[in-house]
Amino acid sequence: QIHYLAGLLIEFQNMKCVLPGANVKLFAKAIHCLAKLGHYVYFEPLDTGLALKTVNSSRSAYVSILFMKPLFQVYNAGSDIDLTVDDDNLPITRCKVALKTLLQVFKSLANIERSVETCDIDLDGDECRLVFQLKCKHGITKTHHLTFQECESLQAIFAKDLSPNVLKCDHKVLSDVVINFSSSLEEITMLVSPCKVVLRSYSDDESDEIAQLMKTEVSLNPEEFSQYQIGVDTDVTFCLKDVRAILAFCEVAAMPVNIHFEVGGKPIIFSLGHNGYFRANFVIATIATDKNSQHSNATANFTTNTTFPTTNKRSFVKPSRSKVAPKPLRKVSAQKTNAKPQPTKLPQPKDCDSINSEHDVSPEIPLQGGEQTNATRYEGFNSPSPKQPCFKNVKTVFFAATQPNDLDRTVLVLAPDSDNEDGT
Amino acid sequence: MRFRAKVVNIDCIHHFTNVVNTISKLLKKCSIRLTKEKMFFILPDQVANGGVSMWCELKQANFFDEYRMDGVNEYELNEIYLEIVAENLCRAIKSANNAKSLKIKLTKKQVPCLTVEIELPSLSSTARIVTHDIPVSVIPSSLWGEYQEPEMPDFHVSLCLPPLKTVKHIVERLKNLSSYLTLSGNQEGDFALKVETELVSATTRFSDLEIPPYDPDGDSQAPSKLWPPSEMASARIDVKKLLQFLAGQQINPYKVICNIVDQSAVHFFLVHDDISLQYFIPVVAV
Repeated sequence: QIHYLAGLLIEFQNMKCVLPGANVKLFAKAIHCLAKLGHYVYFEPLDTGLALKTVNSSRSAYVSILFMKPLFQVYNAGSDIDLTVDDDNLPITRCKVALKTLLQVFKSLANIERSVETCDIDLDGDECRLVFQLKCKHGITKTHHLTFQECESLQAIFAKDLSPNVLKCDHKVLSDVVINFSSSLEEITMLVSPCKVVLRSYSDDESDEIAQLMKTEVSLNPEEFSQYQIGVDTDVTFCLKDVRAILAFCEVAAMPVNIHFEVGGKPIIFSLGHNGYFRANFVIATIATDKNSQHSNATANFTTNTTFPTTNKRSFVKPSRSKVAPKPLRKVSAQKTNAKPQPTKLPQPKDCDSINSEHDVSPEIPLQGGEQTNATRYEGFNSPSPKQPCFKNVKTVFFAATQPNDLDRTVLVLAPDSDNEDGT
Repeated sequence: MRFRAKVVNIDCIHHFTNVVNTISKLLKKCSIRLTKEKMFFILPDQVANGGVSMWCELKQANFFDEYRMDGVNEYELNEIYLEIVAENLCRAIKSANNAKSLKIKLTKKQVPCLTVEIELPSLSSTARIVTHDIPVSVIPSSLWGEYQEPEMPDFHVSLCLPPLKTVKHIVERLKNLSSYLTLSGNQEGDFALKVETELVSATTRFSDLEIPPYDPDGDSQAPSKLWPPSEMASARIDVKKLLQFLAGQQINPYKVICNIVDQSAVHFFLVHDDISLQYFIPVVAV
């Protein structure tokens, strides 16, 4: 796409990336996981990598999976430009695609593992299609042109790093526990104390009918976790179906799982990652229980408060091409004592932005002053320190608009945005 | 009323799992009868069950390392009768696939429950404990009469079936043709499975099947002397019920005895060391 801007000829480049075969399976499994939760996958090409995000229709589950540049053979996020031209000429850098459709491209995992050599993902601005081209063995090439919708950025507000309760374990521990529960069970309660973790089937109705259902409970010793930090003895209840989808993904990712949570009503966050290569956050709402009232709230919803970008104050950034050969994600086994996986032969990623590799930094912007519509202060929450931000009732804004200029407000930024599109 | 049993041996756990799985394929609601010596799974002959009935008994000593049962009272009523949803028990026991121990006990939560407690291996010093609370209803002693061992009918023919897998494959194909299947056999070891519709009739025949020996002093009953040996006794039954019996089998019996009461019923008797299972299917009215 060629445009004239103040007399200068500027060439726009749209997103283009190539995934090597070894990483396509992970990508495909991510799509499968997203498809179990939401209807659309939001593609956000960032400087650090390609982010896939979704949110479910009840806004009670949000997923953000970031495939970082070293995983790609070619990674071109598309050019950003500081512009004063009208919206029609905006390069498209964010789009959303129906998951049902995208699932068709990556339907058979076995097939993908067996025969796909590379996967090209191109955003064709002219034709308005997101093109997936799978180059397979025996010279077979499968090309899929998917229509997309331009979209807002999907961002969730959560401050993982401030969670008082943090558990870290091998995904297999969770899978082995979850399999004991009926496949029709909707919600599960996790009770934590310093001496044990108990997972229990949940029913929100005390009627006779429910009394006739089988109840299951599994207890785990803290020793099964490589990290077991309980700041607040609590119980949280959340959707088991969502967790099953997450665990299915973890099986392919083969990484330990981190669980951050606080109390009922605050989201529980499952995250996994391999520093510099990959990061996934699954944010699930938990049921807010008001201990004083008769009823507990229905599963908390959060509203999306997103708007289409009207002015894009992004500085012109040269499209970065990763010259580093893509690294297939090695399977990392969970170590009880040493939590950091050691990728021995893999060099440090070159174009790595300021991703703080020592802490699990939430990639999203946690912010927002008074933009909430139904903002009510969470009743049961006591800020341990006055500097704590105002945690909203999960019912209210979970997502925020992503206007960078919103950061001008006097809000305490808890976690610096490591994926700021400004490149700053 | 008190009940507490424990299995530690993994083979016994698997064996018990197979029994429970087989039972749960045959019926939805199951009655469990617990005595000092035995555990019974019963589906009584009631109209609600569509005429089929099942009787399965196992000697608790062959399965459980610990077994303690205190019935309604110490004397004539020293038994416990419970009604349970078979699938729940099946699902609960599934957790014990590689368990260190399996405990079953009668408890009172919000409702009376059969609590299945399973100790699983873990990465830590303490085992993982899985607890399933299965709601049960206690059957009052006034109704115990309905749960007695069914009387063996005067059957006309008794023979040992060919391998159940083979029979299952055949019945699976035949079921596509009709909902009803005629089982027939004679005292000389001939056996046939037949379906008949307006357009087609398909029969599979077996011959030289083993005839279960008749031991006059033992439990087995003699086939009716009035029935000519070469005459085929037949019974037309619902193919779905037959398939339920054949498909769910996990017990691996030595042999399966099939007793046919002409135009009346079919009775299957699974013979195994530790377990005996009987299943009755009545004929379908023409």
